[in-house]
Amino acid sequence: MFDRIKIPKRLITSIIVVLVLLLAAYVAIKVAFGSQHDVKFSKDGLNFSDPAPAISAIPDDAELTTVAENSRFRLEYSPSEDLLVVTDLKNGQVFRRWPEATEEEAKYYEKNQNVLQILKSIVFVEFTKSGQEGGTILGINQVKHTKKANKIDGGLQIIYNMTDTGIRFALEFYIHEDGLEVLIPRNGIEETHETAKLASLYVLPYFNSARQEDYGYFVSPDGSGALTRFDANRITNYDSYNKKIYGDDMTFNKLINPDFKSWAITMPVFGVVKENSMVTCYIKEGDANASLFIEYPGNKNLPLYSISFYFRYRQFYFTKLSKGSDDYELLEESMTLGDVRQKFYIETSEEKGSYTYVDVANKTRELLFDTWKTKYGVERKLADNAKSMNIRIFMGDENRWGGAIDSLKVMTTFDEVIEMYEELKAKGVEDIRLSIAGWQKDGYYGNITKKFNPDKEFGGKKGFEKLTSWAKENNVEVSFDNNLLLVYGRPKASVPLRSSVVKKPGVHYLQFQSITSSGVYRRGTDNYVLSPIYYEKKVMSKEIEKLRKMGAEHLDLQQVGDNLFTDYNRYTALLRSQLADKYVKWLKEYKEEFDSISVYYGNSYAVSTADKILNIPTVRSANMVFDETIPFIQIVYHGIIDYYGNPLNNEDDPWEAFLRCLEYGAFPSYELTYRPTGDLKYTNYNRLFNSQFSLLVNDVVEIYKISEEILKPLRSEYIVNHYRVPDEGGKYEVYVTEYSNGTKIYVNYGKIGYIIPDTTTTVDAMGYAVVTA
Amino acid sequence: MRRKKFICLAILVALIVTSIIPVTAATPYANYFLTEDGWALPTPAAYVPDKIIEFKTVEEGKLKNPKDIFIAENGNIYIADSGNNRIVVLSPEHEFLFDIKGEGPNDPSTLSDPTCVYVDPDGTILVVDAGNKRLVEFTERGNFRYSYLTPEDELLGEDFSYQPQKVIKDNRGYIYVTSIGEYRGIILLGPDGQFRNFFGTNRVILSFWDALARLLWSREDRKGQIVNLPYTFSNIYISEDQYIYATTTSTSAQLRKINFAGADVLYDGRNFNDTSITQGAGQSQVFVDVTVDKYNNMYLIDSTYGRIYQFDEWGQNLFVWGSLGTGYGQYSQPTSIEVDDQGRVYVVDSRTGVITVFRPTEYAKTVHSANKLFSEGHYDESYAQWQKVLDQDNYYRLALQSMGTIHMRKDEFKEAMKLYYEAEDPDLYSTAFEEQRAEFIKSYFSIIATVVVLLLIGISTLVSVIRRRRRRLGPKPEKITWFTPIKNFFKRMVYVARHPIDGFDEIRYEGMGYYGDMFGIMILYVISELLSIVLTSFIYRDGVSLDMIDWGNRILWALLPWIVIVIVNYGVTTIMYGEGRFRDIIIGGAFCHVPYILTSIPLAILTNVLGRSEAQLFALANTFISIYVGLMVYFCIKGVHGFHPLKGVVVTILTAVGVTAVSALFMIVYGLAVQMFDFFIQIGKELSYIV
Repeated sequence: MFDRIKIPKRLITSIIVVLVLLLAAYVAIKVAFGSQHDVKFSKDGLNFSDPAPAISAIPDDAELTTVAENSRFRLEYSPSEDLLVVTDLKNGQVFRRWPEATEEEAKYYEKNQNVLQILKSIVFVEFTKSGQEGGTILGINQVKHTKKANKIDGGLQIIYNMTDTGIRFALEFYIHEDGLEVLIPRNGIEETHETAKLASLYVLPYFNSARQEDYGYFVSPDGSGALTRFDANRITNYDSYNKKIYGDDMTFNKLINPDFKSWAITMPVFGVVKENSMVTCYIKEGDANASLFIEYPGNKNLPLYSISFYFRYRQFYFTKLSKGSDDYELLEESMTLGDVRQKFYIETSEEKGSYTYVDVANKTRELLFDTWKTKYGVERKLADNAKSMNIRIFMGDENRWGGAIDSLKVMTTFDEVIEMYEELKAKGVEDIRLSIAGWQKDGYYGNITKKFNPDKEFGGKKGFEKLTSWAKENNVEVSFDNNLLLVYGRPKASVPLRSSVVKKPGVHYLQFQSITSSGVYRRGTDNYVLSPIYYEKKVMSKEIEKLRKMGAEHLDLQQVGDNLFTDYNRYTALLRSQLADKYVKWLKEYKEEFDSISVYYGNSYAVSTADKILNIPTVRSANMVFDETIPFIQIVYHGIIDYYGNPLNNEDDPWEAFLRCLEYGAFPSYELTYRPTGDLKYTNYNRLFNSQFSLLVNDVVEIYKISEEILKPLRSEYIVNHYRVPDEGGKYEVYVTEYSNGTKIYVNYGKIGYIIPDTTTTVDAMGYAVVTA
Repeated sequence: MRRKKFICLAILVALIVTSIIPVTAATPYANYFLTEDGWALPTPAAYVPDKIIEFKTVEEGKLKNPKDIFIAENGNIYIADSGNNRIVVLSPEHEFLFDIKGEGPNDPSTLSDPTCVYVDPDGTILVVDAGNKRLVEFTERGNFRYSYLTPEDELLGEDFSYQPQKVIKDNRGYIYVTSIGEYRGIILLGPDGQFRNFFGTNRVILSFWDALARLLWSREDRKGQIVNLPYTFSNIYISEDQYIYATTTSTSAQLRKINFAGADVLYDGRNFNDTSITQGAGQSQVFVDVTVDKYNNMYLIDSTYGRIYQFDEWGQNLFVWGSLGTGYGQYSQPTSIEVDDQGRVYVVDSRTGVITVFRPTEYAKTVHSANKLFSEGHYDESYAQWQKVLDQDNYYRLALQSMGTIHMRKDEFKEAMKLYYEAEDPDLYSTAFEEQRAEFIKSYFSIIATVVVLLLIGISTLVSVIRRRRRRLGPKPEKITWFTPIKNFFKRMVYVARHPIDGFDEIRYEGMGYYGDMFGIMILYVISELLSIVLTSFIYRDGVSLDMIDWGNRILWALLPWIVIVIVNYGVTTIMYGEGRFRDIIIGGAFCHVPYILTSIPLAILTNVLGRSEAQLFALANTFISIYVGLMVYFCIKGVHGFHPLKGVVVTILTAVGVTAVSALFMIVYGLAVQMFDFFIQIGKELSYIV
C-alpha cells in the first residue's frame, strides 16, 4: 500500500536544505552571540552542604522553647511569634530577633499589621515569579509560605516553603561559646516552579536592632569606616544603605552616572555597639556575594535602626538589544553562590559603654587572621621595614586626540625619576618608596595587551633597566604600577575578543568608560576587561618573566585589591568569589618572584598576602545613614601591614588630608610629575591639578620629616584606642589615636587650640601633637 | 500617609530645625571649571557640603515642595514652603523665627501655593501667592499689609492670563513679576501696583528652516504655521547694583542680565549649556534659578544634572560643582539657590524638602579675594593671591590671565605672554605680543632697518648679476641628473599655477598630465597642510593647542574634498559631454591645490610676526588664495573638458551642487546602513535568547 505514496524528490531536497540552513543559522547565532545558558561556572571555592538532619520537630504553636544551650549562651525559639532569642547566661543579657514593642509601638503595630509582619520576618526574600520581571523584596511573613522548625545538633533549623512560587530554603542557627552562627546550606535551596527564581536572602534583618533613644551605634567598614549613631538627628526621607562587600561588580553595573559619593567596603563585617554589649557580625562563607544593608527609623515605617547582610544568589543586570534601545533588566540564569555562613560574635559587660568601635576592629583583626590562615594558608606578618612616604611618579599618558603623530604626553622620563630622587636625597628625603605609574607603551592608559616594552619616550627598555639597576645599587625601593586586566581600547589583534575578555550575562562584552573632569562617563570610549583566566594562562608568566628580566623588584598591582567582578565569558567563566581566590593565588606567585607586592585600596582577601596597601581610604561615603568617619580599617590593619594614604597633592586641602594621615596612622603619599601639570589637560589622566615636582618639593620635604619622625616608629604598634575629645558644645574638634606602646597622637581639625588635660601641651588649630608614654 | 505618621512617631526629638554637619566625607561630585571654549578642567573642591537643614517637629512639619529661598539684608532666611502654603523665616544661624500662613480662608494673610518670596532692605516681605493669583505684602514681622491683585491695562490685552510665579522689587519700588506663559516679558508694576509695561522681552529665536521659510514665503503664505514666540522667564533675581538676572525657558539663551532700560548687558544670547556633560546622548540642561553674591559673582543652578555654575561679574566661569543624588551634599530636585553674606550657598530641594548648605573652601575664598582685588585695581595684592591659587591649581585659567594682565600693566610683556600662553588665551596673548614686538622693533630698529636694506640690495644685486651672466653666456645646456625629474615636476607645478588656462589644456591635450605629478602634489599638499598647522602662530591657531589636533582627521579632510569633487565632476561632465577623461580630471584636480602648497607655509610662518590687529591682512591673503584656487577649478573644468567658457561656468556650478547632494546622500546612506546593521544585530540577539 505504501507503493502508491510517492514523495517528490524535490520536496525531500527542499526539506533537507531548509533543515541544513536552520542548523547553520543556529550555529551562526550561537557562535556569534552565545548566551548565558552556555556559561558553566566551576564550583571551585564553593561549598554545597545539605541541611542538617533534624533531631526533633518544634510544633508550630510552641511558645518560646530552648533549642540549644552551652555554658555561655542559650538559644530559644518561638515559631508562633517568629522570635529567636539569644541569652547570655553570664549576665542574663538578651539579644532578640526583633525588639519587644513599647506601649506606643504596640498600639501602632496593632493598627499596622503589615509593618508587624515585616518586623517579624526572620528573613527577607528577593525573587521573581516569571524570571523576567524585576525583583520583589518581601518579608517571609508577607508571602504565602509554610515553615517547619526542627531542633538540630547544636541549634535550630527552619525550612521555608514559599507556596506561590515553589521556592524552598533552609536556615540553620547554631549556638557557640562565642555567639550565634547562621548557615544557609546551598543544597537546602530548591526552586520547584519552572519560572520562579530566588534572587537574594536577607538574614535576621532586625536582630539586635536599636531605637533612637538607645545608646550606641553601628560600625560599618564603608571607606575607612563609618558610624551610625542611634541618637543622631537624622534626615528622615532618604533611602536605606545598601552596598556590596568588596565594591561594585562592573559586570552588573548599569554605568549611567559615575558615583562620586561612594567608597567601597573592604571587609565582610559589621558591628553593633549598643548599651553594654558588642556584636560583631562576620561572614565566613559567601562574602563576595554579600551586601551590607542598613535601615534607620522611617524606613519600612519602622522606628528602628537595623543592620544586616544579604546574600545574592542571582543578580539583576541590564542589557539592551540594540544601541538605540532602552536598557531592560534581567536576572542571572543560575545561582552563583554556595553555602552562606555568617556569625554574630557576642560580647557583653555589666557596664554601659564598655565597648567601642576599637573593640569591633580588634575582633575583626582576629577574625581576619583566622580566615587568612584557614582559607589561604597565610600567617600575616608585618614586613621588616617600610618607607615613610610613597611618591607616585606619573610618567605620561596619551592625548585624547590621537592620530598620525604620536600623541603621548611625557610627564617624566626614567632619567628624570633618578634626578628627582637625587634632589630629594640632597634635601634629606631618603627613606621613601617610588611608585612608577604609566611607564608602559603609550603611557598610563596604553593598551595593556601591548604594554611591553616601556615606551621609548620615557627612555624605553634601556631607561627602565637603568632605573632598576640604579635602584638596586642605591638601595632605593622603586616599585612599578602594573595594570593587569583593564584594557584601555580593544585588545591587540592576537588576543581574540571571544575568548579573552570579560562578558556580561547575555551577549555583551563588558565595556567600561573613563570619567571626564565634569563627572560624567566619556562616551564613545571602547574599553574592555581582560578575562582573569586568560590572564593567568596566557599573560601572567610572561609578564613576570619580562618584569624580572628588566630588573623590577617591587610591584604595585592594580585590580587585585580593589576590583572584583564576575566573568560571563563561557571560555573563561569565573565568579566573584573565585576571582578573589585567584587574586590571592596571583599575589603568592608574584611574591615568589619579587621583593614586595603592594595592592591598592585594600580588600581584605588581598591584604592576607600583600606587603603594603596604597591609597587606603581615609573617608567614608556621603550616605545620609552615616554620622562619623572613623579609622576602622586602619585600626584593624595597623601593626600588621603598612599602608599609605591617597596622594596629598590631589586632595582638596592637602594639610587637612595629612592631618588625617597622622590620625589614621597612614604614611603619606604624593603624586608627582617632572613636567608641568597642565600638559595633562587633554589626556584621559586629567585628574591632577598640582603635581609638578619643582613646585612641590618643599612640601614633600616638610611632610616627609613629620612622617619619618612620628609615624615610622609606630608602624609595628597596634592602635588600641581612638576617640574624639569632649567637644564642649562644638568648641573642639580634636581626635586622639592611642598606640600599644602608649604613644598618643592628638589631631586638631578645629579653629581654636586645645590644651591636653593634665599637661601644658597645646594642640594648635589645624595642628597635631604627640604625647609619648 | 502612614509612613509620614510613623516617621513622626519615631522622631520625637523636638528640634525645629536640624542641622547636620557631615564629618569627613569626600565631595560627592566633580569639581571643575569651564574654559571659554567649554572645556572642563579639574580644580580642588571650591565648595563643600556644610549643613543640611530640615524641619522635623510635628507642629511646624517638614517643608513640602519648597520653591524659593531668599536671604534678606539682615541675614534672615525666607523660604516659600509651597506645599504647606506658608513662608518660613529662619535666623542667619538657621533657627526658626516664625512663619506666615494665615488663619483661614477669610484671613488675607492666608496663602495658597506661595512660589516666591522677596524681602526689601526695610524688611517688607513680598510674596507671590500663586494659588490666589496675587502678590501679598507683609510687614517685617509677617503681618498682612497689602494685596496686589491682577494688574489691569489695555496693553495687557483681553486674553491676558495672570499667573504670577516670581517677584522682585528694585530700589525705586518698581515690582517685576514673571507670569506663566507670558512671552511679552516681565510684568513691570509701579510702586502703586499699577501695570507700567512689559520689561526685558526675549527675542524670538529662529531656527535655520524658520528663517528660510520667512525669506521664501510671504506672511500670507505662512498663515497657519506654528507661530514662534519669545521664550518666557522662569526665575528672576535683582543684585545689589540693581541689575536684573533672569533665567529663561530657552535651551540656548538661558540667562539674561538686564539693566533698568531693559537691555541685556552681558549674557545676550549666550548659551550656558555645559557641553562637557551634555554632548552626545546627554539631556539638555534646564536652569531653574540664579543668584548673586556680595562680590557680584553669579550662581546658576540646573535641575537636569544638579550642577551649580559660578561666574564672576564679567561672566567668566569660576567653578562648577554639585550633583543630583541622595547623599550628603546632593539633592534630587533643586528649585532655588541663594547665597548668604558668608558666601555659603543654599540649595532648596523640592522633592525631599531639605536645604543643603555649601561653604566655600579656602581655595575658593582665595580665588574670590584675588578676583576682587584685581577688579578693584589692587594689583600687587591680587598677584600674591593669584599665586596662591596657582600653587594649588597649576593651570587655573583666570589666575594665569589675571597675572598676565598685571605683568602687562607693568610693561613686562614677555612674562605676560608666557602666562597668556599657558592660559591658552590668544586674544590677550596677541596684545602682549604686539607690545613686545613694538618694543623689540623700537630697540633694534636701526639694526633691523640696516639688515632689511642690505638684504634688499643684496638680493637685487644678485638677481641682476645672474641675469647679466645669462644674457652673456646664453642658455645653459641642461644636464640630466637624478634631480631633473623633480625639477621638472616643480616646473610643471608652477607653470600650471601661473598659466592655468594653457596648463589644464596641456594636461588634457598635450599629455602633460602624469599620475606621478598627481601623487607628488597631493603628498606635498598634505604635508603643507600639516606643517602650516604646526608653523602657524599661537594667535592665528586661535589658541588651540597642538595637543588637541586630530591629525588623522586633518589628513582625511585634506583629501576628501578633492576625491568627492573629482567623482562628482566626472559624473556631471559625462552627461554634459565633457571631453576630459577621469585621469585628466583627477590630475587636473590635484594641480588646483598648488596655490595652497606654495603659499600656506610662508603664510603660516608670517603669522609668527603678526598680531591680532593684522588679522585682516592675513584674511585678505587667504581670500585671495581661495579666489585663485576657485578660478583654477573653473579653468581646470573648462580646460580639461574643452568647454566653452560659459558652459564651464554652468558645469562648475553643477559640480558644486552635485558635491552638496552627494554629501547629503552619503549622510543618509551612512545613517541607514548603521541602522540596518543594528537591526540585524538586534534580530540575532533576540534569536539568541530564543534558541
